[in-house]
Formats: sequence, C-alpha cells, structure tokens
Amino acid sequence: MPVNPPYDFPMKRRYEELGTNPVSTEPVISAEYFEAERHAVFERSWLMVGRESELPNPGDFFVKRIAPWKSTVVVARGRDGRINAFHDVCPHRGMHVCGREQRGNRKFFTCGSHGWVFGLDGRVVGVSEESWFHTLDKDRLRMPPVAVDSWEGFIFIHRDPAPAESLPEFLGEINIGYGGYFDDIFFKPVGRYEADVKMNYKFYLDSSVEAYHAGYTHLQNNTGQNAKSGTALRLESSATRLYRRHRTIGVPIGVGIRDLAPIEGLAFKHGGAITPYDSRVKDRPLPSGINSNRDENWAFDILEIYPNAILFLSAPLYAVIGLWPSAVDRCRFEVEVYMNEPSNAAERVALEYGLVSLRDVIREDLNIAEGSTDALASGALKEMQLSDQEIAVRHSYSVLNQVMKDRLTR
Amino acid sequence: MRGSHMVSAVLPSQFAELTEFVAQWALPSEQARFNQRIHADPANIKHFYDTILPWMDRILVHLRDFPPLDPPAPELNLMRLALSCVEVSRIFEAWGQQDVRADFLDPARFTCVGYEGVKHSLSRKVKP
Ligand code: FES
Ligand SMILES: [Fe+2]
Repeated sequence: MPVNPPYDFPMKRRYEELGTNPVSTEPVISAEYFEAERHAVFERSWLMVGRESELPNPGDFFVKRIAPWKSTVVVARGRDGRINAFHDVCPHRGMHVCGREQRGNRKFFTCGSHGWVFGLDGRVVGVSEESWFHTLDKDRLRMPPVAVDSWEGFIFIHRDPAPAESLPEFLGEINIGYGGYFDDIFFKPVGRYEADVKMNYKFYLDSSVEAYHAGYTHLQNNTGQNAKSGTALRLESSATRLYRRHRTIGVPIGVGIRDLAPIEGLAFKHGGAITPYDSRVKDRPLPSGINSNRDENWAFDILEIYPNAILFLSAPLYAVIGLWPSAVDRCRFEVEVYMNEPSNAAERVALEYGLVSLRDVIREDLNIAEGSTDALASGALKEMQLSDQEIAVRHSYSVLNQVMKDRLTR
Repeated sequence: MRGSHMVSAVLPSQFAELTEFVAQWALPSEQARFNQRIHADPANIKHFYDTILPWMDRILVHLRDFPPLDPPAPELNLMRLALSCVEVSRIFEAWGQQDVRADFLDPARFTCVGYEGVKHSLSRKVKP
C-alpha cells in the first residue's frame, strides 16, 4: 500500500494492512498472555510517569508504583538539577527504602531496615557499622537505576538502564508536533482521580480511541453528542492517525445546537479562563500535532502513547491518564487534569463543573471496561467484532500482536 | 458575644436563607460531595438543588471577589454550597438518575483527590 494514503480514504483503505477480521479475546483474558506482555511490552517500553514540573527543586522526589514491573520506582531531582530514577530496593538485603507512594523533598534516603543511606541518584553514601562488612564495593552499590528521559516536560522511564531504543526513537512520529502546548505556566494541575479497577487495561485504551460508544455509553452525559439525536458522533478518517506504535484521533464537538443546562451555562458565564470561550484559551495557537486538520468543529484530540498512557488534549484543558496493570484483570487507573488556575472562588466553582463532568464520563468508561472484563472471563467468547469507526482499536491490537510475535524471534 | 457572632456568620448575610443547607452540603472535599451525592436521599438532594439554583448566579457574582483557596469562613461555606450544587446538578440536568451507570465499578474503589487535594499534595514537603 502507499506510504501516505490520502486522508480522505475510508479508514480501512488507508490502513489496509490492519485487515477487517474479528480480533481475538486472548489478549484481554489470558493470564499467560499478560505475563508475557509484562516482559515484552512493559519492560521494553518507555513509560510516562509524571511531569518535570512536579520536581522543581533539587531534592524533590516522588515514589511511584510501576505495577507491570512489579516494582516501585523513586524519581528524584539531584543537586545537579538532573532527574534520576531507580528501583526502590535496598542493595543491602532488599527492603524498600522509601516504601509506599509519596512525594516530598530530601537530601538523602535512609533505609529503615539497617540504616544504609543513599543519595538522590540512588548511590550508597553511607553504610552503618561498615567495619563489620567484608568486601563492600561501595562505589558500585546502588539502588538499581532505570533510564530517564523527557518529552514536552513529561518524564519517561525505561526498565533497561541503557535501552537500545532512545525515547525520541520510541516516540517516533509523535516526537514532534506538540511543542509549546504543555506549558506549565498556562496549564496547572487542578484535579486528580484514582481507581482500582477490575479490568484489563486495554479496555480503557479501546474506549478512548473510538467515538462509536459515545452515544450509548455516555448516552445521558454527552449532551449534544447523543445517539438520541439520530446523528451520532463520527470520527473523520482524516483526523485518525495510526502510527508505528502510537495513535491519535480528533473528536468533533457535538452535532446540532442545544441549550446549555442551567449550571453548565453559569459555569461558562463565570468561568473566565477555565472556559473554552475565554480569549486566553481560544486565541492560544495549537501546535501542528493537535487538531492537525485545523477543523473548526474540533473539540479534542486523544493521543495514545503505547503502551499505557492516554492524553486528552483540548484548548482549555488537558488530562493525562496512566494505566498500571498488575494482572490480566486488575488495573490501577490514574488521571491528572491540567487547566488554567482559577483566579477567584467563582472560577473555582466553574472549574468543578469541568472536573466532575469529565470524572463521570471516565467512570462510565471504567464501568464498561470492568463489565467487559468480567463478561469475557469465562472464555465463552473467542473474538470481538470491530467496525471501521473502531479502526484505532484494531490498530492497538495489531501493534500489540506484532510486539508479542517479535518477542519469540528476538 | 464572640461565639454567637461566629455562628451568625456561617454565610454572608445576603445568603442567610441558605443556612439550613450548610450542615449537610458545605462539604470540604470533592470526595465528600461525591459521596453525599450518591448516598443522600433523592428528595433531600432535590430540595437542595431546587432551592439553591435560583441563587447560583448571585452566589457566583459574590464569589468573584474572593480567592479560590481558603476564602473567609462565610465565603468558604458559600463556595462549598455552590460546589455541591455543581456536584448534584447533573442528576437533574443530564442523567435523570442519581449516578451514572456504576453496576461494575464500585464507587468505593474510585478516589476523587480533587482540586484542594492536588494543591495540598503539591505544597506538602516531607522533612529530610
Ligand atoms: S535492607 Fe536496607 S539497610 Fe538492610
Ligand atoms: Fe468514553
């Protein structure tokens, strides 16, 4: 097929190599598949863990559970200003040094088990009662490092301390096209949600890149994007871009004219720079990767960064979703919302309207993901059917299957 | 007496008619408002929404002059009432039911850190 098929082709003709067959349920229900996936996918990918702006000062750190690695990772800014990451495991006899997820500022990390002390790069700087040891090579001993790099202010880590593939190579087509959007002065963290979900993490990926479900899963929520109107939300072929690993879709605003609901209208009226109509939001230029068609009817983009990050990108807000599976049917879900900081208490109330609306749409998707995981667990169903509107879902399984196949020949 | 003055200043005076709702609806976190919305008696929620809705425009005009975090106590209570109104509004303005579909994902496994929670966690620094 041509390298760059025209964007106005129907999606299945643009991406003929993806085929039109049903896809197997094995990747979402098999525990053996998940175990292989942990190694082939999660231990060989760059994973997004936060923003550099979360660690503004030397000594700032956070501790994050990386469930698919069965590890906990410390991410810390050193005295030299560089960000380091290392497994939270003590090289003496293996206890967690930091323990549970947390954030703060430290000069050192001290293991509570026998008192060894570590620097902000995870290297041993002090061994208690050192003279009792026999052959300690203190220069070599450290909490095991992981690779760190960043893209547009996001911190990524890789389990291999010297990965064969750099972060820019891993990001490929999406490495450029987003410059300037994720501005830490413009967008501040304003909300966060977390959940322990009995789902295969891929169900949440799947619902994020198709609009087919919007008129049904979100029937009462997406006022305007509503199947009842008879004009269901439809993704333009040209706004769907399927890359080597990653994928992005552009989602249009709801069809038709509608009246704002009372509180929705008040949130817009008093929301200032929280709302899409404020000139600070509306007139801010978007980089080429976002709303790449420059469609006037555009609402937001979804950018899925393989294997487990989803970015919701719009003019007034962006949200970052992290999916951290610990088993084939268990996933830690996290979403952080970034928006203009409210400048007064009325804007704070308007912000709440945006947050709770997004929250409850997310809960609808999580509910379907958990229900689907439960329904498929019996194995009675062997295949799932996908339409042209779900081609990005097909792409996701295609990328995964290729990675899983390649692991056998590596 | 100082104590009784503080009791009378639960809300800014022009919003005193809403005082009956403070105990149940001036809640300190999104998590508390969410829990209240999914567990409170539906008639009780509707009474709160129907009563506060005509006040909301005036409330927001008033709140424009106060900071989003830690306004004075009467405005803090007023803002919390307005936040609860936002929380319950979608029952009446979108869903026609008390919550979105949640027959698989138990709300007890879902955590709202919320705006104040995010601001608190960013300002919290653990001592060395
Ligand atoms: S396990 Fe950390 S000092 Fe012993
Ligand atoms: Fe959805």
